[in-house]
Amino acid sequence: MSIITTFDRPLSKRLAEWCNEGLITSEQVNGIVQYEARRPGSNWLIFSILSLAATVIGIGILSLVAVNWHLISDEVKLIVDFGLLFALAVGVLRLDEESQLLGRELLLVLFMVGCLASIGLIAQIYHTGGRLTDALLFWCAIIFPAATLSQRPFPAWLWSSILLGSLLFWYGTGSFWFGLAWSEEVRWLEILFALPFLTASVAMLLRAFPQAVHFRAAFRSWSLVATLVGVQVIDGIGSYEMFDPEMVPQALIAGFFSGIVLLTVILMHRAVPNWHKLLAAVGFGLYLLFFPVVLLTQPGAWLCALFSILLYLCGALYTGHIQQRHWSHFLVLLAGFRFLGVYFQLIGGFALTGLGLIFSGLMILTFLWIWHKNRHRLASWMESFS
Amino acid sequence: MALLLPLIALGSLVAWKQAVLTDGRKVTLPITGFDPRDLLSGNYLRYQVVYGVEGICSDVAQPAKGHKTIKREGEGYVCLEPPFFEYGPPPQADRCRLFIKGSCEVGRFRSGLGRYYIPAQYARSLERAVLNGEGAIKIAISSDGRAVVEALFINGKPWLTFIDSLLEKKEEKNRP
Repeated sequence: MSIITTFDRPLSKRLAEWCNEGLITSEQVNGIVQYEARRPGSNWLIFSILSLAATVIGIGILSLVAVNWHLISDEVKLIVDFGLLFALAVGVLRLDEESQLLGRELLLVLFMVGCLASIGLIAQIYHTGGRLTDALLFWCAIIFPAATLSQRPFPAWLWSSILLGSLLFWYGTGSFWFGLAWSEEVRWLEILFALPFLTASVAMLLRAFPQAVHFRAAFRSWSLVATLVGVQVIDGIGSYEMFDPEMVPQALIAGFFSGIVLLTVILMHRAVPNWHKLLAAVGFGLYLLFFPVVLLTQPGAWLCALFSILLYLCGALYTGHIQQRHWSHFLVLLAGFRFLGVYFQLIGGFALTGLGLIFSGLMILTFLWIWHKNRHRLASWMESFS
Repeated sequence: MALLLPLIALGSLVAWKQAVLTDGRKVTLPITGFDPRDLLSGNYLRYQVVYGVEGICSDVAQPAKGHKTIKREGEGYVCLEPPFFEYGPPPQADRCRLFIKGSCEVGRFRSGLGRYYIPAQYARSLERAVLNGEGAIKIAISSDGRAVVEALFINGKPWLTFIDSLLEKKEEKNRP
């Protein structure tokens, strides 16, 4: 288990404490600090701000394109545009030393966003009548190799977010050549149910490519986000008859198929620990049951709450074990707040009285205090679980 | 190569469009439309091209159980010489001398000709003119049915000339 991930306090503070206690020497402290400073994972704050700055610059470029420079000839626009892209590409290639990593990453992000701006410029010059999703998917296809050059997570995140958003919108609005008789409502339900499994499958496939570590992390996180959104949406509509029950089975086919295939692969994979297999079976089983039970039977708030809490706790166990502490803490908190939601439903009108409000507030504080006092122990237990 | 691929792809896209503009046959067609905003490329006039052909995308599809009657969707082409519309792949040269390929979606023929990018400050004036039936587009059509918009005309004049004349009239009004 990594020392760095055991606790949440900054590294420098912990090192100073250990040095004061005589556990390590000051030379060792200097050595550790220098080593951490050289690692690609360090200075994440600077990288994040630089990525944000690059994106803002890119948005500025897109806005300039949007102004429609009718006074400048189309040839000049294209020459300047391609010239800038070429210069950015040369810059990325020339900054290949470790000390120039920051500059290289900035130029790469600018290059990626610049290509998107170029697609917009070409569409403007030739009055192309395509859909926005077509342009974004084209961008994803041509920029993917460049995105793999990055050693930081941001380009992978940017690429996977735009790809997923475009594909979802393309499918959800029915903007594809093979027509389906399903309504847009049913297609979005299908996406909600199947997306966690599809993104998790992509993350699993990317294990075969060690250099795609950031893409894998991005798709794994999107899988978690998609699961959370799916659980919360279904939990929220659990009491309302919003779908024609006849249409529901059609919307669940893709999710069931992808979920069962993924679960089968996980269970048959020798490298996956038995504990992970058990957790996957329980989590997948709960999720695969949750949707049809809610949509076909409208079981009421209680069962929805139970499903949600169990799924959040499954997720917390899994993310805790893979040392994604922030996700783990977040999911435990979600489970706790969902439980509090059940409590509020129990006490009903009493919650709105003065005494009820005080009692409810104390419950929330107590829950937060218990979680805060035990979160390290809980996280360590999850990490050691096997 | 990873960095060259986007440049090559974008360059090819420009070359492809430019080839149609340079070598394609030029045709001017009237339009009717309205003005929305494109997130990626600024203001554009969205319009419907008046091809002068009857029955475009008018076939009715067999509805699924419980669904309303809908227009048939799919690949199709508008032949301008002689004028007719047909679903299916593009025709042989002896059947149709000049055609635009596209697809029928929600009862409309989509051929990539549906928009013309305009400066935001002239959007209202141009939109009004097009809605009054004064608009037309000049397009270039390649031999395989691809079409690219070349120019926008208002009352037979390039749209910039139309805007200039509007501005002149406004200046004359404001003169004491």
